[in-house]
Amino acid sequence: MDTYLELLKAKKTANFNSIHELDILVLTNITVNPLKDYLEYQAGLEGIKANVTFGDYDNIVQNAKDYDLENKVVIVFWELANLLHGLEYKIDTFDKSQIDQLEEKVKTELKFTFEALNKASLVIMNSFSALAFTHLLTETSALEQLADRLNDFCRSEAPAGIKWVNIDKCLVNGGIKNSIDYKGYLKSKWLYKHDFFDHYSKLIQPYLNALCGKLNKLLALDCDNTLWHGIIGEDGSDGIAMDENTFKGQAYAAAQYRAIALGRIGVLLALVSKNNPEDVDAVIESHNDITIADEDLVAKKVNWMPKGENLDQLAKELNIGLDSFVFVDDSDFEIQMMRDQYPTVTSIQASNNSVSYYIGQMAWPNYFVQLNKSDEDAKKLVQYKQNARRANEAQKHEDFESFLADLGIQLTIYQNKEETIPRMAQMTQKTNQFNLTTERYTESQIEKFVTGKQYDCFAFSTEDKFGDSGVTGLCIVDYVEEDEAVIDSLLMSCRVLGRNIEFRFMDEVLNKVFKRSKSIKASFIPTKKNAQVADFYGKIGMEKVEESQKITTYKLNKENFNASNPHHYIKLNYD
Amino acid sequence: MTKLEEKLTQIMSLVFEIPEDRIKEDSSPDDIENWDSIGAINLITAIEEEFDIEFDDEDLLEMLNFQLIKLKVKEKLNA
Repeated sequence: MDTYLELLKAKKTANFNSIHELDILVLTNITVNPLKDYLEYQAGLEGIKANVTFGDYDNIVQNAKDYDLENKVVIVFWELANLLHGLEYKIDTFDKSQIDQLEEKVKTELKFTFEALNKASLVIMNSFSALAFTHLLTETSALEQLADRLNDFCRSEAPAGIKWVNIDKCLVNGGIKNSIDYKGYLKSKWLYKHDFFDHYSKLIQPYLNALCGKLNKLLALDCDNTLWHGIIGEDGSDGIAMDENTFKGQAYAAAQYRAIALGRIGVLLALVSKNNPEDVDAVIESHNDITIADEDLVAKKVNWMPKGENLDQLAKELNIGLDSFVFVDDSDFEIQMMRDQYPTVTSIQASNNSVSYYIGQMAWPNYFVQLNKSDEDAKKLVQYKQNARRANEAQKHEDFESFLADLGIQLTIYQNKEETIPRMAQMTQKTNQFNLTTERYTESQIEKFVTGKQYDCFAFSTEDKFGDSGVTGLCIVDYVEEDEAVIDSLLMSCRVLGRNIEFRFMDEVLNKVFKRSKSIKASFIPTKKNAQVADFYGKIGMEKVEESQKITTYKLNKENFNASNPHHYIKLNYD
Repeated sequence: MTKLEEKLTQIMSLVFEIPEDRIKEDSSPDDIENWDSIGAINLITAIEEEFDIEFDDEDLLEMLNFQLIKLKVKEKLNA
């Protein structure tokens, strides 16, 4: 696709099957209207129906204050050169006080805007760039210095939730010639053209995916010609290459480091390879040049079964969705097969040209972009491995309850704790299966719940003799009226399920709620993924009030609640 | 319809998001909702891309409906 017109054609003929919907508002001080078509097309490819609208031309601050931003994505194009008409050539005639004055004005406006944008569910802002007007200059110009100072200001003053896009990256991809429309700029403040919009929409797409809960959790790597160069079964241990000091091996060494780096931020790593398991084990354990190690991996599926079946089985073992898998393989056949048989898996073909492969790897982290990062992420691999060990232990006990009692489970509840805000926001964005209403919240929204008197936020962490699971569930209660409470959100990470923790937790939450309220309402909103909790509220003794395809509501009065917790072997703490 | 007319009709239909059969010789901003100031710039951008031509500001003043645009494009192509 090389032109705007081709994009329009592609958009018209595309038959998108959208499962998600996003309202996107673009606030801008230049003309960027074609962006609408690019964003809608790119999001459509990901199954997201984007409805893009624009604020008034050059009225960012006022629009940010006046528009209803609730549940909207806001994208801000605050173009440096149009801070005032012709700034790019006037600035070098300004004296210091004039520049200071302009800078102060913009900073004040930025502050107001940051504040007003707090209500949006996601804010994407472009960092200030002078590149389009200074790329021919040898020395750093006043315009670039101004951009640097404004960016420093944003880094220190902007709320942490705002996502900053370095638009120079978009310019680099297409080059100035294909990205900047100088004629359009001079005629009608129309600064960007096709390549810019194309790259921009691709660059921010991972954020939109994350906001819709489309998050990948596991990276499954093939071995031959993906983790190393060559084929272990044919070339033998001496014939394969992954030595970072050789040209042949470096791209593969890089792949291992990149995978390990993803592991550090919480991505689960697995091998899926058609080989003799002992051959692969021998390489992982004792090859001189190997970097990736057994402790980096959550699983090794090395056998002769179809790879899709292996991944399907792995998804069940780990209790995570197959649609959160990213699969890398060099073989046309394996990639096509996976796309055909398991289309929800994201399949990436590793190029057989090692340089292309090396370049392609640079984009791997895009598949795992998260809106909120938390300290819990890095612990995940350990927890999934603990799960596997728990499963083994469970087989030894004949009676499941006695097995649970033997685990020494401790449940710690955090009520309205500010430290848990980032993690709570992250959980609302990521949890799909055990999630009763699937409301997605940003940190600033959660903060309102935590500090507001009308709400109670309960989060919990658990530990047992195998280890600490960290903060893995939450319940947000809204005291809508004096005597009536409503459960706004209830969710829990799947990796703590199967230990009756959910029942113990809700028992305690209801106990607390009934100290303040006479009745509580709750609802279950079905999605494609949360069928397992369809009657959770029924199971904890709530009465079904109304049932339809879209929502089931439940109610429980104080007099009917009895905290007859049968799971007393779960020890309760408060933090 | 000539080839040029076909192409112009297609471009307008894509830019203004309306079916091709709604575009007539005298179609103008008066009867096409999305043909506002932004729509006009989108249209010019798409036409310039498709035919590899460039309009001046004076040209734009004359391009008030389908027929006039067609004449202007012809003029540019023959220039």
